[in-house]
Amino acid sequence: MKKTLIVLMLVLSLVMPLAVTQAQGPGEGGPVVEGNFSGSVNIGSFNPLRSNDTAAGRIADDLLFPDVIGASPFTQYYARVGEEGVYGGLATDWTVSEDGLTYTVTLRQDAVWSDGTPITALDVKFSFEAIASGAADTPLTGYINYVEDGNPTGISEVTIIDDYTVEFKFETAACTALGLIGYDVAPAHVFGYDGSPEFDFSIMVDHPMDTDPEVVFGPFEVARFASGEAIGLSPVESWPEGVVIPSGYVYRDVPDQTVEVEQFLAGELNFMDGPSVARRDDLRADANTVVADFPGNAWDFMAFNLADPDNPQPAVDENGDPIDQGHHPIFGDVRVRRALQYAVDVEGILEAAVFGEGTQMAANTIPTSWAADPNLAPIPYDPVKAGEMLDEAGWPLGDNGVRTCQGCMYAEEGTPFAFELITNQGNTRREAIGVIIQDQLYELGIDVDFQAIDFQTLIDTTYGAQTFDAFILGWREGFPSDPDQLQLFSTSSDDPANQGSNASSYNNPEMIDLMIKANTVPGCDPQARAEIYYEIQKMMQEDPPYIWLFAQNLMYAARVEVEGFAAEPNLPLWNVHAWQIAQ
Amino acid sequence: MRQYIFRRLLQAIPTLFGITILSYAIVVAAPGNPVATLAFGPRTTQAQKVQLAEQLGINDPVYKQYIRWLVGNDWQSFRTLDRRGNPVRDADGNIEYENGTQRGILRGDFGTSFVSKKPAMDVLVGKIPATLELGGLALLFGLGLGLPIGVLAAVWRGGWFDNITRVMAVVFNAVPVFWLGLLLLLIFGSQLGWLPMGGRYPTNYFITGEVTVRERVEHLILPVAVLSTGYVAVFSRLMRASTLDVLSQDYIRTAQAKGLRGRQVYFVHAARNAMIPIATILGPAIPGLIGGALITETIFSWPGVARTAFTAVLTQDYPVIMASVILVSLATIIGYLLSDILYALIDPRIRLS
Repeated sequence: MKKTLIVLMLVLSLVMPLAVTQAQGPGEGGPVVEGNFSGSVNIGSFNPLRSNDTAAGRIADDLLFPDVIGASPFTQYYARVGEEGVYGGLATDWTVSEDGLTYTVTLRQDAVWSDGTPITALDVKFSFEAIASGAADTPLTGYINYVEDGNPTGISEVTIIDDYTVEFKFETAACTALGLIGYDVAPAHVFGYDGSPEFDFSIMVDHPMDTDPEVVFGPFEVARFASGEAIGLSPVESWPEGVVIPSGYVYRDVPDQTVEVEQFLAGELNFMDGPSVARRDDLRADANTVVADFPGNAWDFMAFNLADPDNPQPAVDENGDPIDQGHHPIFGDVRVRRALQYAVDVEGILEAAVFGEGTQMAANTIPTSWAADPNLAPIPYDPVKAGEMLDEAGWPLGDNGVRTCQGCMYAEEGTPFAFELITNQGNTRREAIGVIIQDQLYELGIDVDFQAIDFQTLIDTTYGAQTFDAFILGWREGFPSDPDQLQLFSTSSDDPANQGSNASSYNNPEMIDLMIKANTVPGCDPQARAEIYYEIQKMMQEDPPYIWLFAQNLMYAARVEVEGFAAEPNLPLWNVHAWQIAQ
Repeated sequence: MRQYIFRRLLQAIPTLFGITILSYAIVVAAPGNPVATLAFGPRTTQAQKVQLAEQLGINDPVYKQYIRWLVGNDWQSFRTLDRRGNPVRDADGNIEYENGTQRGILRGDFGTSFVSKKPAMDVLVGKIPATLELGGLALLFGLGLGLPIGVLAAVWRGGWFDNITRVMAVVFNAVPVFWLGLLLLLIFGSQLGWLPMGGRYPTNYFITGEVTVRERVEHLILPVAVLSTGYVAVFSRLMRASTLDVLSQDYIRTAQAKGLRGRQVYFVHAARNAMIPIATILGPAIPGLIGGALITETIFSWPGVARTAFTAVLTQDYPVIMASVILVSLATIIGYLLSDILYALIDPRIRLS
């Protein structure tokens, strides 16, 4: 018995240290190491008001500076400080005036910059005034009040009510206002701002804050920045959301996604955002990797040109009166566009182009959006139906196997159903999509001349000249994503001279009215807005400017030694301060 | 000699201007413009795009942009614009003007990067140490290995060493650098885990600032090995051919007849003269050091000049592109000048006049 007891104790003494994980203290964990493959790590500026590149988004926005309003990883929407998991915000509450033109935001009072200075309403006002001044050389000018075609957008004025209360004024009531208020906040005292209207914001240009910010508010602070190689962050001692356990955060340059995955598998990186779709199954199967998958907010589409490509015109003149844009000989007819939705096998494209790592779009709203209609199914692949619809539209199959115009709406009789489809060279996903669509439409008697061309030429041809037939491209929604897409499909954005976003020359007054209505719902209740967006999505299936392809799936991956990794869509780092990484 | 150098430098000025005119025309003639890249997004308004184009000055005719790049715009007045892009007026309703801030490259101002918002030349100059470190070591390695191989291959002409090195030279010349780089990364970084898979410093350096010599060497091994394979192949073949020429000369036979040891004959007497043709390619290798390591720098995430210039091309960052053109052009001119001078120093028969 005694012998058995001794053996048992010996076994236990060996096993216990393995079974119980030693909790790590502040800065005692290993560093988080992430790769950046979107070009060399070359942050434009650490000042969150002066840069919006990829590195600035990850480092300055996510880890070093607060937003006026934060977001919840669980609701994927704007959230107040104190709600579960809320990340990166200062606002503990906000109210909207009855006319929807004034937002009053209350700020948290426990937030201090890393040098001990409290974060107050002055910092919030300073950040807006810096953007608005035009002197700080900032790319964030969308927050300020532009007047376009008589429609003011953006914040017109920021007023300090008291140290922790700020008032934002708009000239037009819009539910997208929260997104505009959610801008980044920079420390006013670092630049000597005292609220004076005469303050010269050009001091922010070439300020040390660009390359070596000493005052931040986040779980980390800048330790070392080697342009083109890496950004190293060290943990701060005091962070109101909790103890910061990782010993640092390193954002390393990797040449491409292939090498990124190899570095991750070799243990040189321990966190990845968006690994190569070709390697995702390998990562899922890897015993040393933990992955989190979600439908993403970047989506691909095939856009039609609805107007005459030989005579591109803006939709409206200087007075806002409509201009005759003519009709595209093929795609000017909505029946043809509808038919082509059935002719393209999006599920097949998904499998072939992105290894199934995507989610088919039902219409113009990403599947993860609160405004996506859950009852609206994506258009199914039905080539027989597509053929019948094309027959009805006056494009029957000819003896030579190619469809030709016989009583079609806008093309001359006998015109073959042939068009040019373009996308940007180098994007292998879109190149694959183009080839597959070309094959699928060939089966229906449609001759597609598919070409992958230089990105700049593509933009010039489509958003610039509007001389194209159809093109494949994608959009990436912001976060939190707002379903408003007036900028994409309004007539004021249909302007070749200024590369307006409505390159398709889509003109649907009913849809525009609904978009405006959804964006001006009193109180901006998401459910009330969603009901309107559901109508719009149905409309976008009936009268499509694009073939809605798919949203690419997100994947975040961490090495198994990263304990506490609990990524949520768009906010994979919401609890990064608590990650425990065995060294 | 001084006169010669001075004259060559004077001759370089029109050459440099010619290069800048051609380069500027090519860069501006490329499809698209930086606004498309910098402001491409579904929420970007037309007004923002127009304002950005005005800020960057890309709506002006090409010759104006070129002249501004050359001599600056601080002698010109521009309308002061408010936050909405409208002209600012004084109390009397007159439009306010302000002077430009660019001084032009002739006064040392290469403009500000459209992307990083930093002086364009600073962006590149900051990368020179990394590029010289990689390129210099690769060149040294190439010379250190290529020259002796070339001499020995010539001495043992037709033997197994000569045959093997000739085949290897052809192989290393033919193998694409990107393939070799990825292969070495996979073998020594991913599979064996012996060496880091990229970067100039280890991860902890970016947090603590501490790095050991061993770590630095580990990060250099793979990129230097990849970059130097081409040098080794070229230098060994050139040195072999040159040494073969020299070995047939009378003074070598004399040295051998005097009973000097083979090592002394080949590596002291023969190699010295055989190296003269090498001097002609050392000069052009200098711009190669600065701009020629693009693929290696990219594969190994090496923060060098070539990769920075390449990224600038992709984003149509005109000031950085043009600064890199000037940098590499200057290096080329100086490289060829040094080559001529070196040639004269090595070969006393040549006189520069």
